[in-house]
Amino acid sequence: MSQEILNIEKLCVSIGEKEILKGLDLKIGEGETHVIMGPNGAGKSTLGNTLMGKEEYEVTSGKVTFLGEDLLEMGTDERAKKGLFMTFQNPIEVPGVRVSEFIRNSCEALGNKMSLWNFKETALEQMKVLNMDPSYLDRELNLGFSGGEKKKAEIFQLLMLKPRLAILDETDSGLDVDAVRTVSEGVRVYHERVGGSLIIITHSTKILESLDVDRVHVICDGRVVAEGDRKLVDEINANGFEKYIKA
Amino acid sequence: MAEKIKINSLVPPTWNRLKVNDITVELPLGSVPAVSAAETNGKEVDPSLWQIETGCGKELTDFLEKNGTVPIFIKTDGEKLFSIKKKYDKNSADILCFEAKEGETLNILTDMTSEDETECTAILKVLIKAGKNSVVNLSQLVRPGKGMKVVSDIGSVAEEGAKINMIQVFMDGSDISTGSRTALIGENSVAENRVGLVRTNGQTLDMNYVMKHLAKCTVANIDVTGALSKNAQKIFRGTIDFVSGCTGSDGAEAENMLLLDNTIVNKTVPLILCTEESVAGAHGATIGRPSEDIVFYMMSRGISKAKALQILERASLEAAANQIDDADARDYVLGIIAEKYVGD
Ligand SMILES: Nc1ncnc2c1ncn2[C@@H]1O[C@H](COP(=O)(O)OP(=O)(O)OP(=O)(O)O)[C@@H](O)[C@H]1O
Ligand SMILES: [Mg+2]
Repeated sequence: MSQEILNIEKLCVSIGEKEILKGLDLKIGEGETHVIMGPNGAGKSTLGNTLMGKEEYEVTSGKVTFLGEDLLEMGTDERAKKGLFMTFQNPIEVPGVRVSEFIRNSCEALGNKMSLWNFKETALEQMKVLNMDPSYLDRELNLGFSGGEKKKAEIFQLLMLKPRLAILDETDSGLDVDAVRTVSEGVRVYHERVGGSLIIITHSTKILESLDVDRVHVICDGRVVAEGDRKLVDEINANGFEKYIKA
Repeated sequence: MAEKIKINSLVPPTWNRLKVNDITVELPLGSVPAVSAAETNGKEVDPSLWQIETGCGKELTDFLEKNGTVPIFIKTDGEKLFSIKKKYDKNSADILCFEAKEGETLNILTDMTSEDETECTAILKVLIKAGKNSVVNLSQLVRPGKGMKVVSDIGSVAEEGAKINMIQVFMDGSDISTGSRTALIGENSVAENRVGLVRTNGQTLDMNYVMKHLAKCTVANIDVTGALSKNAQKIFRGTIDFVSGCTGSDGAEAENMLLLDNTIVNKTVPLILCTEESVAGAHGATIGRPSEDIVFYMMSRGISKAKALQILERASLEAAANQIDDADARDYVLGIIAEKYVGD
């Protein structure tokens, strides 16, 4: 494995009284592409939200190291500044805040202060990759966006913010065939240009088409229950999760 | 010499449960005009010709009379934006009158500001007559320095088919009292009061908006968006008054307030007075802490919590500013907002 970027050890996470992650282990190397699959409610989004530091997700035990530092000690914005990024399964609407203003502020927070002109130029370049109309820059973030447009706007942010590690939480669900291809292309461009690592949470294979997958992990009931190479994706698509779900 | 007067009282004086009906302000006599007739090509007029009730109320009108403030009637150059931008440096009082004749459109912008070191009181009263099928767009930007007290008062009358759009943006600074009263006297007349406000560091904003529906099929809308933090105090009184005979009229008021911390005082008194049956009055309010999901989302992009709240604060000002019809006026106000938040 290449240089380790993320190391999750025996992670246990509860929401309220309910334990969701029950001793999850995962290692990601620099520049690698990992896929996480698992049935609904397995804890995939919980993993993403926990890594991003969402308040209600309480880490009861375990360890997470990101670029050699204790991730769990950091606030959400610090994690982002360190190079962690997540596309939301359900992107949040931010009334009154334009896409351009939001992303420009994010870039600035991450140490990439750009002039308005420079920002626009960079933004338009990335939007081209995603077949997004430039007019989106002036719209209020995610407000009135269709499901697919919201997902594209997340990948647009990925391309603009250039994180070291990106967690894509079902970025492909709810997208039409062409949109999946576009989004997949966006992810490929990110990977190629930035060389960052990817954790792709997905229920389908379409988004993986233009990507080289290093490893596949199956999460069931808050644990990694199977791991393998790309072939595991096809096997699950053929046979489902049944054999991994313990009676 | 100063005089203590009562302002922004509600129409039914019984409404004092929240202690919003005996607010007083102390105003200095001897306040001089900040706007001269010469610079505006205006002319001094007899106050009796412009007896339009305002939001702040009669005591302010009486005060201005006692102070000797003479109304100036300003004739604008057609639709071309008429703007008055003032940096106040002494106690000032002005009454500016505008009239849109039948079918005319007027675009007016006022900008009130001061240096932080300047101690002064600025009173601006704007009176508007909107004639048949005319449109009056009045935009006001108020961004007082730390030592400036502002009273901004508006009174307007809308004749048949007239449209009055008032947009006020109140930025961080010092204490502000404001009122607006619109008499919808002509059928199918329309009036809007849109407000974007930010109050912080113990600043107060005292608002009284009245829409009086006096004719059939009149439409009025009061819409307040804002953010409060750090011991700020805000009182919003919004009265929609359906006078008997105004059948088919529609009045709505909505408030969207972000409370950025627990130290603030936010009082709201929506009043819908109704002696007429076939009208529609509505009040809606969203008042509370910023959504945790939104703040988390922003933080997940590296934006600090403080910055996230500031972005939302700015958004509440822009929500109103974006509604300014005249492009020059809109760009000007948005530019000032941008300057303020980039500078921080
Ligand atoms: N904020 C929350 N409050 C309460 N329960 C939650 C919360 N977030 C997640 N859960 C619960 O945790 C479990 C795991 O949810 P999670 O969203 O992680 O599943 P998932 O693997 O992402 O599923 P899907 O494939 O449907 O997206 C579910 O039972 C869910 O109801
Ligand atoms: Mg999920």
